[in-house]
Amino acid sequence: MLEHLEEYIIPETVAEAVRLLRRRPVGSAVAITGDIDHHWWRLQRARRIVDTSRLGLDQIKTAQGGLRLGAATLLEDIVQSKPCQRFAGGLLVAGARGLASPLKRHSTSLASMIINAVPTVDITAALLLLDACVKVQGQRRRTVAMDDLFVGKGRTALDRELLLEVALPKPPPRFGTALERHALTPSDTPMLTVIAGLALTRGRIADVRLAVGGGVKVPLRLPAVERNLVGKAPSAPMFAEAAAALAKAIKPISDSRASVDHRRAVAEPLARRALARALESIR
Amino acid sequence: MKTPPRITLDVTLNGAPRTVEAGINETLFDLLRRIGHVGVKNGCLTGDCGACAIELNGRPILSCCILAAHAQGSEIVTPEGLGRPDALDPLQEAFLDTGAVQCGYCTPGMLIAARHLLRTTPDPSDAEIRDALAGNLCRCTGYVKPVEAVRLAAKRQRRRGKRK
Repeated sequence: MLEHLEEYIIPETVAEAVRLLRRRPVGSAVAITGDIDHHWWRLQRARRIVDTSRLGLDQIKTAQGGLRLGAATLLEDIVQSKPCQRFAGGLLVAGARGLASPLKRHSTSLASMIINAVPTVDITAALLLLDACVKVQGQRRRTVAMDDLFVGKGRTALDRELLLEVALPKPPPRFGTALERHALTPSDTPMLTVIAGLALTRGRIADVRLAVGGGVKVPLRLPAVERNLVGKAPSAPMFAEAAAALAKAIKPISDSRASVDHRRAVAEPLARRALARALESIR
Repeated sequence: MKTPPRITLDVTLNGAPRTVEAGINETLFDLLRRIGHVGVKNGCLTGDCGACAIELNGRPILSCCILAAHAQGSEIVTPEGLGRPDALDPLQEAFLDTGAVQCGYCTPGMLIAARHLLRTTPDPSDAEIRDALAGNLCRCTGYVKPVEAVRLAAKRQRRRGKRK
């Protein structure tokens, strides 16, 4: 197991961690926060593991109505955090609980979910919906929108950069959210997850967001479906139409949990329910 | 093919300082079992069953999902460290008294998970107990007696005014 590994280093500073990540040959170093199971395929040819668990990147801070989550924050700490419980109707907590085992949540960091573009734990789709961005440090420090981060199955736009934190802007006023997941049991990996976020102004949709996770290659937003809803008065037929458009727009995968057809078939009722519950939560 | 190098780890294991050698590619699970802590069980090695649960720096974690090197300088508690045969942990007592052990394979992991629950939630509801044990797969008990055991241990702990 991991026969190519030559070094396991626990750096004490971000600068040291970044130097180690950028050391040649390119791609020989993998940054982890401790847990290895989501990094498994990246670790197979790694020569160097850079353990970033002791860099102090596990803080949860509020910031002008928004949130800043250190990259090394464990999912269980998100579940237990009062600021996270209050944020956006508890969506982050619902997303973190997508990993149903508390043991697993105590062992798994936000970074592991993000840098492996994991669609099967709902928190990545939740972060997308909430317009999160990530702060990373490579040759320079930069900010990348979550929307631009996931470039393919298990791949991100990061280039030997260290994930420092996830920043979430303050949600719109009276922003309702709802997460609907379809899984064999409540603790199973979802076959599909649809998340909706909604804000109204004078009875009309001012802000609407739809994110899909679970049985897709990468978590995604549906901007075209969202645009069609803005400015309209919410109604069941309108939500049904949006849900049908969402089901048509996604490209689900086929695996041992469900087929493409099954996932497409459940996408529509999940989206309808998510929109309806998001609306209900603000009324 | 080269064998990955080995490192020396200084940890506190069940309350006692310990220095051990480990391969840098060795999981904490493999290391602990190799040095005799066989209460850490192999149920899946993918982090899904909870049988390998231990406490690392006060947190219940899955030892199969962590490389041993990550534990450098850490405090580790294995199921063996929960009590002694002549002085059982309240949870161990309760699991015995309620008959919550059938094949026993999931039990050590359940004890670790439940211990953390009772530390953070001294008077848990049944729903909270079930939630805490959600990461411990059990094919034998249907969770009926384990939930009863945790409830009983919580009651006894509260009565004794003990906090572990």
